[in-house]
Amino acid sequence: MNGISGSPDYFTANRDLVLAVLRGMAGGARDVKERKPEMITFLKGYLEVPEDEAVKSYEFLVSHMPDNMIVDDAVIKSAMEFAASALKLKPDAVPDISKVRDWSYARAATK
Amino acid sequence: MKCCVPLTLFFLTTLLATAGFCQKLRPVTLGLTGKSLTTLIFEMSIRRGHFKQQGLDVRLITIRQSDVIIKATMAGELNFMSVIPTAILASVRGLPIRTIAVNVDNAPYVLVGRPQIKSMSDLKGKKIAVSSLGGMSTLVVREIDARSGLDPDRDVTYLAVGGSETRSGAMGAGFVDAALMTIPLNYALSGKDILVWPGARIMCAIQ
Repeated sequence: MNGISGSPDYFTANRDLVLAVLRGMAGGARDVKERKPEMITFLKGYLEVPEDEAVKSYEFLVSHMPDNMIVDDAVIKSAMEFAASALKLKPDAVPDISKVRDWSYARAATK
Repeated sequence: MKCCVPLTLFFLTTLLATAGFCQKLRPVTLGLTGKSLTTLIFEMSIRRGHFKQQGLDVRLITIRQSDVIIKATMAGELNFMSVIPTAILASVRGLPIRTIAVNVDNAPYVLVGRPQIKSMSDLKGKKIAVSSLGGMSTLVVREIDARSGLDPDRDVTYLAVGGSETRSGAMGAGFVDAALMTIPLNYALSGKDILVWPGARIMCAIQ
């Protein structure tokens, strides 16, 4: 999984900047999806892989890019459950998902 | 009068272009553990001017250990970070960290071993490269080890090496016996003594 995280206080205090970052990311994501030949050429040099691996990597990447930079809560919950289990946390010690993810910025940036 | 219109347009265009050119970009720092397939989106946002269009000068800061990135972000030394698994781990631990956007919703971890590692039990007494000792990648490897009958606290040594690219380099140089990797670094290794093991994906040998 890949994306953006940070301090909620910073996000609140810099809302406009956060939305600008997400809009910029959305532009990059659009290019990745729409410019396959260019991206494959770039990936060959960027990751130093041969053509066939660049193609496979590109296709994997595009098939796992969520719309609007938001994933289903089940994906986040799955990672939370794994973390809680590995940390041996009691169920009541695990925070609510609202303390882990906040899609309000992604929604505002992509509407 | 007719000649004034193009002249006015010329001055207006020049003025606007100059204002745009001189617009001060806001510096933004984004911490990550190194380049990977999933950082392609950030690279494109920078190289194709999407951040600049938003008035931003986004700088990708590579810090090999994901838990150091978490600390730097909490200390205000980084504005954003792209280490979601470790960020979620930090949130679950109760730290004030939120994930606000996801570029890629899946990146399968693959544990890769050197040729002499033919099974998980061969990892006893060996060194495994992870991103950082406090990061999610270590928890993943510990879980894999435990499910394979190894004692994660005694049977193996975890070395905090850094991101997938660095871990691959450590494997290639022989500094470690196994490493957790993500695609596409596993593609070159697939087909070489691949072993399927429970609880995760594949384990394969590096030449």
